[in-house]
Amino acid sequence: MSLRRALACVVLCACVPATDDAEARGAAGFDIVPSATSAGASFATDDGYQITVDRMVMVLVAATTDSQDYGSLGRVLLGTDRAQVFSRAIPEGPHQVTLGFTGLYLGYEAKELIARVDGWNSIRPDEQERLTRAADSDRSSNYQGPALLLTLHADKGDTHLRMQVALGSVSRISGTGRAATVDVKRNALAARTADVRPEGLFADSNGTSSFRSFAEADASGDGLIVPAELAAGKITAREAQDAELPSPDRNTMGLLLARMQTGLLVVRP
Amino acid sequence: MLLALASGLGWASPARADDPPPAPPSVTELTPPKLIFGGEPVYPASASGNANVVVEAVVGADGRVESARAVEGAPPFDVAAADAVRGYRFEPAQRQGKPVRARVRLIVAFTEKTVPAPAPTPTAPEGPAPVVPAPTPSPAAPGTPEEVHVTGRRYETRSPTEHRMTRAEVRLMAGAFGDPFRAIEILPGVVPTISGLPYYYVRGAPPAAVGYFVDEVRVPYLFHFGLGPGVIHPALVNEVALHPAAFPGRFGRYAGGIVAGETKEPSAKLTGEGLIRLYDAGAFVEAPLAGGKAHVAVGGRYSYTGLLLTLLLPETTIQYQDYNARASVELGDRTRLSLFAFGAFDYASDKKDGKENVLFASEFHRVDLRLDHDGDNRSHSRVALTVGLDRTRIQADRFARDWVVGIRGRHRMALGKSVEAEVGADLTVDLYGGDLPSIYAVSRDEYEQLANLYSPRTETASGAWLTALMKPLPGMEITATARADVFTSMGKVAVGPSPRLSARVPLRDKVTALFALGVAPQPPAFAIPLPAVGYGGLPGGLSYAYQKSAGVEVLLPLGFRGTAVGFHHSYFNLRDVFADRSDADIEAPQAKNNGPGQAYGLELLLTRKMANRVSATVSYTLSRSQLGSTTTRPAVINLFDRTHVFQAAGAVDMSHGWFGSIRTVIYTGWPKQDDLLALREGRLPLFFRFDARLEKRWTWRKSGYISLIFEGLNVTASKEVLSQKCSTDGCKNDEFGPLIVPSIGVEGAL
Repeated sequence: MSLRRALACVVLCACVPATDDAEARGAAGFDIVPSATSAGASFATDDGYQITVDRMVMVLVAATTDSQDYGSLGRVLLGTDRAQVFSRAIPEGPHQVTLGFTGLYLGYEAKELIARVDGWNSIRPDEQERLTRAADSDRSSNYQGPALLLTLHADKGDTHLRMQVALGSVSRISGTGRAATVDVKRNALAARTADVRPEGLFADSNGTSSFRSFAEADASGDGLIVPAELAAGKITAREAQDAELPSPDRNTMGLLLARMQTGLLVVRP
Repeated sequence: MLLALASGLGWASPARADDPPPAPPSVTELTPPKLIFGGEPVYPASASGNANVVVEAVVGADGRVESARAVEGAPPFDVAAADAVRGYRFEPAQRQGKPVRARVRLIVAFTEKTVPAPAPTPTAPEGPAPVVPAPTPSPAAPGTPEEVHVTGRRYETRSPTEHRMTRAEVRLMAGAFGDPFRAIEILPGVVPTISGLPYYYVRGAPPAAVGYFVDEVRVPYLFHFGLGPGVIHPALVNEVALHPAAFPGRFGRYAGGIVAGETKEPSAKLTGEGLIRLYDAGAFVEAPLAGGKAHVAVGGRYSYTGLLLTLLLPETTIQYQDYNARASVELGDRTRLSLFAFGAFDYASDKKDGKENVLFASEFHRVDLRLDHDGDNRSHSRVALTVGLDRTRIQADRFARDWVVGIRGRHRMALGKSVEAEVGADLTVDLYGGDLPSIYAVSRDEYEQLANLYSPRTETASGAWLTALMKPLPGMEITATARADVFTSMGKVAVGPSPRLSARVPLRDKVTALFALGVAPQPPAFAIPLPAVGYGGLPGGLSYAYQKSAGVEVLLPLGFRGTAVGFHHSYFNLRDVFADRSDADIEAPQAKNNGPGQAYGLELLLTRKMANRVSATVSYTLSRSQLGSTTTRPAVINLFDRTHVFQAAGAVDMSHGWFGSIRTVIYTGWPKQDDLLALREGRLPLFFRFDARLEKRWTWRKSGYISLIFEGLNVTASKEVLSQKCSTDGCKNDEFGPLIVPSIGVEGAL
């Protein structure tokens, strides 16, 4: 201890040194911006359906190769929420960060699961419960929950349809186009903006939108499209090719999964 | 050496203008206190020759000495005489058959030669010590108030089942380094974690459940680096009490026990002492001012360990220091204003690549301003304001800060000849601040851990209590307390009721039964008491202890006093991070709840104060501490359980200024933890150690002394087995230590 510090200690009664400068680290991620349609405004498909998203819960994660953050299980947010999804403790400098959907790891006990998910309390109890069971799209998985809870209704003339589905992220279908490079700064978030666009769930790569395949999946004709019907619903060859779906997933469930991966979130240039 | 003889009894205070009218009954009905128990004073090691000291003592209506101070006599005899008188017990003074407080003057006489004590006079037939009471007092003059006025300041409610150790008693205790706080290790019910480490389990409760106080001010830690010298200069400490159950009403918020130190009364003369050791130096000086109306005391300690380490480990720095200061002024005959300040600083670091890396840094500071007032009819009031600052930084973590502001007040009054009441309340506000990192710069887990321990927040703890002291029969004391505390933190609120009941019931002349029942709530506490580090938001809610104990106290021949107490404490929601040694996560956001637990056992204590050149203390604890079952394991023995803890200490005045003392500590090893079923059957090897102390004193100018002291804790270099690792080749002990604390020092006093 230096004489100066000793004197300061006596005079100021404050000897414990302040925190040292730690290694400069920051965060990289995305600023998720809801849209009018994700918040409940209707939109029309090119084949004449008026689609209204009633409720949308997403579980997102931002990933980088240099993060030292191993404790996060992702962030839960509603389609109406503006939220930041980021990866922490990244060294300063340019880094590529990817925005993706993730299902909660169901191996954790419920309390531990909740403790590791941001935004958990922003959703309803029934939605919390649904996130802790296997997704409709991948029932073979007992360890990862849904990444997207989607409830919507579609109207066209006298046709009124409802769809309720819990889509997982475990899939043979991989998404592209949500990676971005950001310049990480000390103690700051370097973020890119990503828009939530539910229109993308029903649009192909050319921007042409259609709900017809999903409407036809309602095999029971009761107006409610359930996951089993989506898994059995047929899609056109053009839709399968456009979504690059492997043969086991050439159905409306697979199409919805592919569009979720590629079209639901749009990162601004 | 020695012996004390009594002299006159004087009723000191003249009548005052505002005193009540003279009492009509004849004051000749006043019966003075009679000594029923008193030990011989310790002939000061630094002294030579004979001396008489006049000690003025306040004897309470319960017969205990509430205060004692030398009013005539030279150091060091004055201190020794006052210390001796504080341990005396009297049959209280009586007026018209009613016990009353009284101030007495005693002459304590010291003779250097070793002579047998004279036979007690007939007026003190029960007293083993050669102290006799004063002759019958002179009648009070007309106009003397009915109530005898006294000036004693020590008028605090005591628990009938507490243990008390004065500095005079422990000064020669080997391994205690003259520090009463460290000496509590020898008391029954106190189970060490690791030899030499002053963190104890008290009746099965972990160290985090034991509260430390000095003059009612909560102290974050008592020892530098947990095992080093005490942060309160021993010269300032009059005595230390261990309350294992049914604490006095002014203490609360801890489930395991209370260790409470009291500073000594201001000295009427210039006094001081200093100590220079191989690794630190300390001093304490006190002086009266304004003709004794004010007093100032300053003390402190400074380590130069760094200088030594520079030679051995140039990359390592260890530094500690502390300060104690007290100033008081008498505002009239009955009122005193005191300011007490103390604090400590610990720092450890190493250097890597030329950069200093802080391993640990911690400090605390306390300033306590209090006003004491002795009222009429045995009443006493105290109001106090405490302000403190705590700061801690541990390796790779941030630093935490806590501004502490507390107020407290209590008032004690007589409600009749055999009933007294004390009412009090206190409020502590902790303003936690921290150097939290950016949420972007650290991992989620790291941030959450830091946010739990370092997050800026305001916490409050407020309590109120009412204590009734009833003495329905001579020698019988019943203390009943109703206390409740309210805790708030980060929007959470918890209320902790804490009723207590304790009693002393005389069975025969020298046999007294002791009873204690209590409920003790506690908020979540960090595993190791560190300044400014704690859990925010009351995670897991309050812990509770249900305390039950019963036993007897016996006055034995040859000046021995023995107690035997059986206890059973139940613990609910008590968190002990070390309950599972293999899975202790000290940095977890909150300690795991170990389920209901219990501790039960028998405590034996045999003590003999210094007399005929010999003092002795023997303690033995037979106990079992268990953790209740949880969803993942059955009920098991606490991993820090020690079935037997035996300690024996003795000190001998070898004359010519030589004093020798030795202490042995023997205890059962920890339960084994290596079986798959975690039944914890079997024990690790027992541990024993010896502590030794040798002192040579030279006196100077009749009032001062200088001593050369050799002292060592664990001079046998014993190692402690912490675990066993077994393989096909057999089992191998995992040993710790030896932890040896040597000390060579020079101590002197004015």
